[in-house]
Amino acid sequence: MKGKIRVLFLTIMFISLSCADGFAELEVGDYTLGGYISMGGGWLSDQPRFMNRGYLKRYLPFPQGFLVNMDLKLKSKDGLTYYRFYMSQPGLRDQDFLLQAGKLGVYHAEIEYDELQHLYCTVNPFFNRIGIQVQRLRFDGYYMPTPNLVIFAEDQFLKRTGWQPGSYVTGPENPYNFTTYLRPINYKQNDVKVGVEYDQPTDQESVFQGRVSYHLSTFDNGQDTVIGRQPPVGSLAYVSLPPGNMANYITAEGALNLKSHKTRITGSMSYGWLSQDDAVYEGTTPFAPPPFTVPGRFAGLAGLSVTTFNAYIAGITRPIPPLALRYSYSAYNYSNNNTANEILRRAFVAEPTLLNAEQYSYFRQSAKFGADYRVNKNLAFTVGYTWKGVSRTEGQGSTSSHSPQVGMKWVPTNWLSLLANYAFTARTGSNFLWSESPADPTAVLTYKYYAGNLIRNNVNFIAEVYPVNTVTCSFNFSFYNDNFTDSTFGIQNDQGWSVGADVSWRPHDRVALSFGYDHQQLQTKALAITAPFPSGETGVVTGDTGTLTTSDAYNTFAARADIKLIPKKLDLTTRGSYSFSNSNFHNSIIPNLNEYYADIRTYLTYQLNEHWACRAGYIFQVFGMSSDYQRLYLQGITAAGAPGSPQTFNTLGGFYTNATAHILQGFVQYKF
Amino acid sequence: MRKIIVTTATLVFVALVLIGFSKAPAAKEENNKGAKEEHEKAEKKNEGYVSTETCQGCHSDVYDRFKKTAMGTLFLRHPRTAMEKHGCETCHGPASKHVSSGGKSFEGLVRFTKEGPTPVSENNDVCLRCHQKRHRLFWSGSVHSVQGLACISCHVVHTGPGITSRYQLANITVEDTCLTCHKEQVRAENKFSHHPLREGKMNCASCHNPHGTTSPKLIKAISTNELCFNCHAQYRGPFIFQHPPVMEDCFNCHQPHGTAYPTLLKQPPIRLCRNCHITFHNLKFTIGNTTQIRANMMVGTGCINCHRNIHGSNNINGNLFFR
Repeated sequence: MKGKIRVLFLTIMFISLSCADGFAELEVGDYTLGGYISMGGGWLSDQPRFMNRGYLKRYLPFPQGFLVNMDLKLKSKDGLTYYRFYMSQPGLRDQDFLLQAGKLGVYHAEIEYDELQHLYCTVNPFFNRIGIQVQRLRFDGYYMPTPNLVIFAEDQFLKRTGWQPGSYVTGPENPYNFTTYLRPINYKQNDVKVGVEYDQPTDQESVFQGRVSYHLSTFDNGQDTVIGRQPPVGSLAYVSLPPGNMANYITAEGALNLKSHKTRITGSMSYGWLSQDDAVYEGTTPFAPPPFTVPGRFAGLAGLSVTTFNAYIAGITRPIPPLALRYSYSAYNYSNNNTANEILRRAFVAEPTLLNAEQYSYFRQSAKFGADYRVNKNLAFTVGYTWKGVSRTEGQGSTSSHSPQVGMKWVPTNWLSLLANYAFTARTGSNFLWSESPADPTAVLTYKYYAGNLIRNNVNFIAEVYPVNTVTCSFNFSFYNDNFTDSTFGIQNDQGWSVGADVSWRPHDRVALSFGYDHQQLQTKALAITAPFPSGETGVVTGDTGTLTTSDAYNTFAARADIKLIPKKLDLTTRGSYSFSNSNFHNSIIPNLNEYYADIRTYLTYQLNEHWACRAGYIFQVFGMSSDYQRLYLQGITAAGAPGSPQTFNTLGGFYTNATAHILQGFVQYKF
Repeated sequence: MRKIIVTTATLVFVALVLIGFSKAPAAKEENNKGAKEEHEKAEKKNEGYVSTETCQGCHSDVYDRFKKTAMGTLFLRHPRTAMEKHGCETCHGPASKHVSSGGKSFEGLVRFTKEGPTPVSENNDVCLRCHQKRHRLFWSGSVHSVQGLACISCHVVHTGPGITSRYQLANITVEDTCLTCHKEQVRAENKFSHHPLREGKMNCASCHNPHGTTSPKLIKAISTNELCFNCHAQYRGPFIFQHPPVMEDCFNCHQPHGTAYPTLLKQPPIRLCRNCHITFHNLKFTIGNTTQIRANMMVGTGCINCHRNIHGSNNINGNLFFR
């Protein structure tokens, strides 16, 4: 089929190109045809070959072999009606087809089919390609039967097929071994949205806008049984699949413009119903599961559902010209009414307190107030305050946070623009330390840091500089610090900062250069101390004492050059990025993780005449990961800190080896 | 599957061609009737307006670029209202004083340049007269609006390299447009684990609506979880055994812009899980007379090697997410 598609397109191209010199801007009846067709190919040389290409091909195949790209636009002579057909890499694993049609001010419709791969591993000795293929079919369109009314519809169908690495535990307590398997994936997801919007005509003062929409989302896991395959002999592992589910949302949104103080009020309400009624399996006794190599028995259909309700109202008022007042309130309710479900009660019969810890509802609120004052065209200040609260049922605690913010925008000269803001947040929580046994408060099992006490500081700064007409610079700085207070367990602190700069320079009409750099540093600290488990079992990861510190540093360089070597004849375009990261676990047993990736692409385009052009390109890609960490990933370590035995089972997923690729490309392009 | 797609695409293409040659008489008649009333009103307010041809006399290059855009096609060739008939002056305001002064005076004009005297909010009001619907419904009061971002900071109307790009972005691509202020987030696409942005299969607007939303961080859903479920509905549940941090927010564990660890985790599993799970397995085991570290907790996916269905389990025996 791939070959037939290529032959078909090749034929079309030869027909269209055969009398190319006779075509100016091609006229087709009352329409004119524009766009381009590009045909050529790429040749790949990579090291090491085949099995080690995993990371470089993680989402896209190498652009090698026969390559075709096309973008054709048909426009009516009055300019109102248009059609567009776009095609990229047909027959390859990242192919993309797009069809658009429309009439300005009346309707627009587009349908797109594209593919994407997600490779997990290519170095397994038994399966040299473990991954899934994602296919997407998307429709998007709107129709305006009158200037006031818009009817819109969207649909996205996603299909995932392939194999995904999985694993299951063997041995109930000791030694916690696990074995890996390949899980077949056959997911189908469909999201449909339809709605209608009312707006007043653009030449009338807008008073009211309203919109109603409905969203249906379905997910099907595509399999009746729950089987994974263990390479290489294909023995079976029975594991649970993500259940098929469905979600329905009805949303109403609107806006009101009031003449009084130029006030605009916007609001939204959305009701959702999420349900899951897929097959449930069990062993002979709850909490005493059968071995994974034995299928469970059908226990019934789940019959679970939750409802969501979201409400939002916001307004902005300008009582006097330099002053704007902002206010908003939002509420999100997640309602779980499954505690009486028969299947659930059977599952939790041995640990009823766990039922309350997991099947709870929560109600999230946020209220914001702010004021923006414009001193003059060059200086403006903003102040604000945000309150957020979350309350949970089943005794799972509540949180409340208060956050004042200040900000400033200052343009002191016509070549300098500064933006800065600062936010402070204080959050208090209750019941964020969870014990399985309320009678024994020392038997704490989890610290829910996302619901616990927190002090946060957040700073952002942006500067744009235009020193001369041909140069543009921008600088960013941001910093955050999250201090998780009042807990003697778990995460204590999370902080990070980043700084970045970009410079664009146009020294000549024919030369455009840009360069950018970004550095980011992240660090988290958690306590290595463990709470005493009811059974008395304690322990820490070897080498972890006191505080667990994880530090990550990221650096990215990016550059681009567009040079017209010979005006209207010869163009050179090159762009590249190089990024490297270092992750330090501050543990003598766990080695640092260093990764680097570079992608450089250079194209030379020679314009033969108004329509024909030739293009030559070179692509360089390289990926690397520190070998000590790779070895740890594959082999583990012994108590003495020495590498363990090689484990081929770990090359099923998430593991990539170093690789370098060089790709040469050549194209012929015809432009209408 | 491919045959079905090609056949369907061909049929849709033919159908759209037929629709395109159809007319919408009801809309056209209503437009004509409304336009006549509007034209009469506009004539009374026509003072100070010159014609587009006058603008073209001095700004021919701008005119030539503008007429190729959608706005230019409508304003210059098919104005639907009296306001659109003013062409360039629909947005820039009456230009008579500018013309009579030989281009030296800008009195009465709305200028969309950094050095122009018109404040950003007034410039934006011009655009919002027509473009305050659909995805821009919640622009007023949104974080970009509060920060003083002008429409022309991200979009071009008739001048700039992005004039032929989709949505007429100032910097051609979505990533380059967002990069000016959000370097850390955009450059995160270069990290080891990332969504396919640098591969061109997604962009910032796949998850965010920069024009304003009802949700924090300008995400295009009522909650962060529902945003992720647009593509990852396999984690929607509800499950028999739920994992509370998953129920409340995917971003308790994941950083969607990019990280150094697989599956967009903020930290490696062995550290991430310990942020909450403060009781821990004995990490040494004995084989024969040799005590070894449980290497399985260091390698692969760490804790997830055993607790595989960590997002939730639909199995009656799935209490520890083993199955």
